[in-house]
Amino acid sequence: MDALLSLLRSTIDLEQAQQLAVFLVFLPIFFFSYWAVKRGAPIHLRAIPAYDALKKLLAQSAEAGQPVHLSLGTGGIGDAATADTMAGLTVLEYFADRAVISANPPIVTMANPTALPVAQDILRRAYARHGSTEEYDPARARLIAPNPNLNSQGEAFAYGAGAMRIIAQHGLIANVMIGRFGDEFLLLSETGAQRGVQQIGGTSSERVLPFVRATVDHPLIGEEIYAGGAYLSNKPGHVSSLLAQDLMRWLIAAGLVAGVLLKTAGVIR
Amino acid sequence: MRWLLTAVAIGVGFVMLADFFYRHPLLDILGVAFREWAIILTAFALLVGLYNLLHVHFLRVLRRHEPNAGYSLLVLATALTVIAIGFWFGLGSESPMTWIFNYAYRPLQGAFFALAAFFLASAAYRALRARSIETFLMLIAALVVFVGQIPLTNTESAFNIAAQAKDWVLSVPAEAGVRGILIGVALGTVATGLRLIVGLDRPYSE
Repeated sequence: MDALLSLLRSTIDLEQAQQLAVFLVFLPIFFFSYWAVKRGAPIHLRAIPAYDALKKLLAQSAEAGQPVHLSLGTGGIGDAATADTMAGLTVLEYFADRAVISANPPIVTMANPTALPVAQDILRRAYARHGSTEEYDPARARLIAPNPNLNSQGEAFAYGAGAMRIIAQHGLIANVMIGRFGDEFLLLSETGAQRGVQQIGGTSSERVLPFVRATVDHPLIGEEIYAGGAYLSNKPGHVSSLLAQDLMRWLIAAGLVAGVLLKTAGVIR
Repeated sequence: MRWLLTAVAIGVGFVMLADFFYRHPLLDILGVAFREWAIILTAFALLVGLYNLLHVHFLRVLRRHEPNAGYSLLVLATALTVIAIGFWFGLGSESPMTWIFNYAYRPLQGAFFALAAFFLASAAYRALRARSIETFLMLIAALVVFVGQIPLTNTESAFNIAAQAKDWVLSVPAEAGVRGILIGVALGTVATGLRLIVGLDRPYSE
């Protein structure tokens, strides 16, 4: 037994073991949810006003002939903010597919160069699906200014300055900001609010959430940004992961309550 | 071709996941190699980004009647000048590049950070006018923390009830809310990663 424990300690430390345990609990829940969704289990998604507003935006954009600005923030692909950037790219995929028909594609901006090729590819593929590749304009996705240290941490005020100009001068119908942001979120959202542009925004960074709540018409708080694929495109993978997250959340909540009760009763120290 | 992209993504994802959880010489070598490749790809992405930046502003200068095209000209001139200086003098701590970074870029960044304070005041005013319960509660909490933060109300003064109220707001309702959000974000991040690793989400192909 001691030899086994010693072997385990040499290959995995305690913190990694705890994370692995949570991951191994999450894994079967995730696959069960996917199986249930694929089998047609009825899933009720609570209404998130920001996604309802996003769906209406494109029709308004086509009617008014004004583009939507989508900011992917400071996160990139391959860094700690990849999930946030993916959330923004999921919204871009939805926009791109519908906006190419209306000849009013969104203007996409970002502060991280690793997100640029993916954003351009999503736009290009949307045009290709509609058989109009020649109309694709790579300049609709723009790198404004990268952070000097090329990561998603810290403030990207140079990006904020550039994106503010786009919000102020391009006659936008809406400003959508989904991704990883720092304090520059406030610069962008306030510029939009002062111009009377409809705003939808969200981030996972808890430090920035007060700005999101105070300045944006339709805020997405925390993990709500990851639900875009389920709400906008009803993709089975996204719907099932949402279900798995909810089940896991209930498990964690039950664990917390059980821990409090056991601690109060003196069963655990 | 599509299956190859998916297979590569799934394979690399599982190797990185295994490397994160498990110490093994072969996994360590692969993990380090993949991380180095990611750094190289980021450098190339930066070149693509630079081309994109110059392309967008070059088009703005070329097009007639484009409003404020002068700023684009300034961006192009600045970018090309800084690139030329970087190539000519290198990137040492005494180089002109460091001087530009310390005495041009950083002050401009600081100026924008200072601007954020005014934007914050204007955002708070707008939130106050919105008259919803949520914004009202948020502003009350902000006010309590703000008053509790000033030296007159610090814990040694006679008005330390404000400091105690601030500590309570930060350590009870705010902390509880933040932990709830962080648990949700962590689960969302794991779910996003898992979708990519098992190939349910394929942003790299149709």
